[in-house]
Amino acid sequence: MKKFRNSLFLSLAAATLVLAGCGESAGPKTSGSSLSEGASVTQRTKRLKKIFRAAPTPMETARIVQKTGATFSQDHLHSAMSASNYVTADRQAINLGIYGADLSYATIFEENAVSLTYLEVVKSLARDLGVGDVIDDNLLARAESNRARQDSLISIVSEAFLTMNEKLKSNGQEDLSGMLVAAGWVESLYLATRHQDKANGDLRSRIAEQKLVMEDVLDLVTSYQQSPELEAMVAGLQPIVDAFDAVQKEEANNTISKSQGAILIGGGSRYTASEEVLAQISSAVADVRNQLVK
Amino acid sequence: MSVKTTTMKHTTLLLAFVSMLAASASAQCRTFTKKNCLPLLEDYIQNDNYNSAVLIPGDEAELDLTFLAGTNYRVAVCAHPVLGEVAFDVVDDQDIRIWSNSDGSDHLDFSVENAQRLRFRVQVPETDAAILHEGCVSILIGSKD
Repeated sequence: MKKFRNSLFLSLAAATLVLAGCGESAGPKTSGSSLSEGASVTQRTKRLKKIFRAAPTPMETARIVQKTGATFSQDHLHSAMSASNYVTADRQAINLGIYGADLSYATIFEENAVSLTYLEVVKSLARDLGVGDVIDDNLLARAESNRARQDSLISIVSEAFLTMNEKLKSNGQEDLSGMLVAAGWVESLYLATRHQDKANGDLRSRIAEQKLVMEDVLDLVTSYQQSPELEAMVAGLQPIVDAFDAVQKEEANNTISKSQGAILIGGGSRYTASEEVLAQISSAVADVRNQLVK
Repeated sequence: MSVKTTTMKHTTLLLAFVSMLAASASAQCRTFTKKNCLPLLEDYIQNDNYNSAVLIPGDEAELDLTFLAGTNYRVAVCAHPVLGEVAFDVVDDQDIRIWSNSDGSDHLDFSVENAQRLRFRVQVPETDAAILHEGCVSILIGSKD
């Protein structure tokens, strides 16, 4: 028993050191500073390679759709009236992702009244999922007072989704975060492909390039702790994966040029899809999305 | 109560405590990122994920992500000063290095002509010190029009 107490004490001491690490140092960013508050001694000696996963956001996809000259259509958004239909956590997380993408789409197209309606819907679903404090009255008031400023609205919406994802993960609901991200991607692709019948070459290329985003999304959500609901959702994306299989990739080297402190990465691999393939993608995305909003 | 039952109870408590500490360390890393790293993005809007981890000298971190045409991006790498000056570079999908922070820069601003998956590699420098320290390392992605 004494031995156990000793090892418990040692573990607590080591853990306290770990706890002190990576804290709220206000120290300088430069290297070589003396040991400051927030650093700690590690017990680990084995080196590791940390792999991070991430995916482009619905806001980014909405932005590229807008840049192709596409016009906003509220008819394609998921009805705000349906939000109360979702009573289980998985359906709520999925539709939070769907409504979040609709919100991003409306915000990018500067449909501010629509944005505020969808922000209310997102707030209600977030509350049902136990992360409602992310979108509190203060945030809604900030959005209302900035309704004419697109950049502020984009910032508010992005910050809300960043915090919501983190809260779900820290609440041990990584699977729900995964569903939110995957559903958000499906909805943003759904909205992009609604313009497909009158799409110009630019939009077609941007849709074909979503093959890469799809791979990012799948890598991200399958790296999360799996639940039967998340596994079922990922399996449900298979028709979209199959449709993107026919997208062609043409390898090419990159060129690098500099302009005003930023670099432009030119060239690179190109993704193309025929009319027929785009129609298949559009149809598969609509089928999957309509299942998700049921 | 038997010795075996007591030991099991203590082990369970210890495991729960260690898990709680790990979660707390991760939360502190997020706090570090918010306070010290997010300002590096300036007017770029952050992506939906915090990519943060507690690393030690000699560790590496990697982030693969697709970047879309028509958007301006900033990728910032931020590390606790105790780790020294971290090196980071960018490689394309053919594993060709297209940029590195040899000038000590903590961020890269860029745009892409066609959608590209890029890999950001971060290397925490080795140290000869007898005592190893650990600290938070974050890779942040921001975008704007």
